[in-house]
Amino acid sequence: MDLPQAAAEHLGVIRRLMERATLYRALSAPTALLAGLLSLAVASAQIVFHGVPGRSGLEGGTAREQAIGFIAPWLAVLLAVALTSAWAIQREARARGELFVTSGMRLALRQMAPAFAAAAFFTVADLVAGGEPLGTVARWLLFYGLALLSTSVFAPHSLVALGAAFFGAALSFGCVRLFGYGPGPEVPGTVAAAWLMMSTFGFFHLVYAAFAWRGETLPPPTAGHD
Amino acid sequence: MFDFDRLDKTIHERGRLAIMTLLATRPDWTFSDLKTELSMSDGNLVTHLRTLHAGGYVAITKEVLDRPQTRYALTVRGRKAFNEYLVMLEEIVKSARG
Repeated sequence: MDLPQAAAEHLGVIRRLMERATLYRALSAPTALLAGLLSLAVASAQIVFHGVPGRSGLEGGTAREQAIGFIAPWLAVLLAVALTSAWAIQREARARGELFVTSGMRLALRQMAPAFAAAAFFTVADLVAGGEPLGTVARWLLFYGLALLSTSVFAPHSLVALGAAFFGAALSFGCVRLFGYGPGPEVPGTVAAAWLMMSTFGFFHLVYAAFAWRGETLPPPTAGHD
Repeated sequence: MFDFDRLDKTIHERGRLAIMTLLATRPDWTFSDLKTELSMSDGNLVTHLRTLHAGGYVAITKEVLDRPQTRYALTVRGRKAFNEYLVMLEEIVKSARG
């Protein structure tokens, strides 16, 4: 093999290794699509259910009962998305002959763990103390955004953009509340929170899924130098 | 004509090049992660890492958390050498095309 050919081959090896090691998509397009669709479905159901007085049966309940009524369906969504994601990762890993837990996955989980732990802590606190649903959603936006942004060193641009969108939404919501704006007293807190979930977790995930799908279906890089 | 002697022979070997490439992507790597990613035997990987360490390209940190773990990272010198090596490869390919 002559030197230029060897150089081109070495550059190809470097590129493949770097792409494999530096890019870890913690949220695949199908998983994001599922998350988006489930968020739209659950948020729509909550808007319909809690928007009509007397239908949910929670109006006269305690703040804690209302918090549980709002949060429980979203925990079910989280569980469904997490299980689907794990199944998809395992299937892909098996197809590539790789382990389920790769170094990329470990790194991503380690980076995201503090934000997810904080989200879990405040969610449990809201469940116990009966936190306001809008406040709960704002914290989910903030910590989910921070979790995704923490992977920015090795995540694809689309995932970082998704994190920035959630982080920006949380800050925007904070500003709106800070200046005294927000839903009027006639709108139940659970309904306002469901609208916020729909427009962020629902809409953002669907947009991300569209972009990620485009990226994931591109042909793999070739070994040659171009 | 490109002068072959200008290429860094420590990095040019395929196995060591792969190690240097991975080390360039993150602040540090554990031995087991490198082994998994590169599908190398323990002996092969240790030998290459020792060569790179002896050349001053790789720093080794040993730590004991729940179990002993060795982490590897590129030194400043190693990163500079890797970048220069990449530039040189590009030059070779360009000159062959031109």
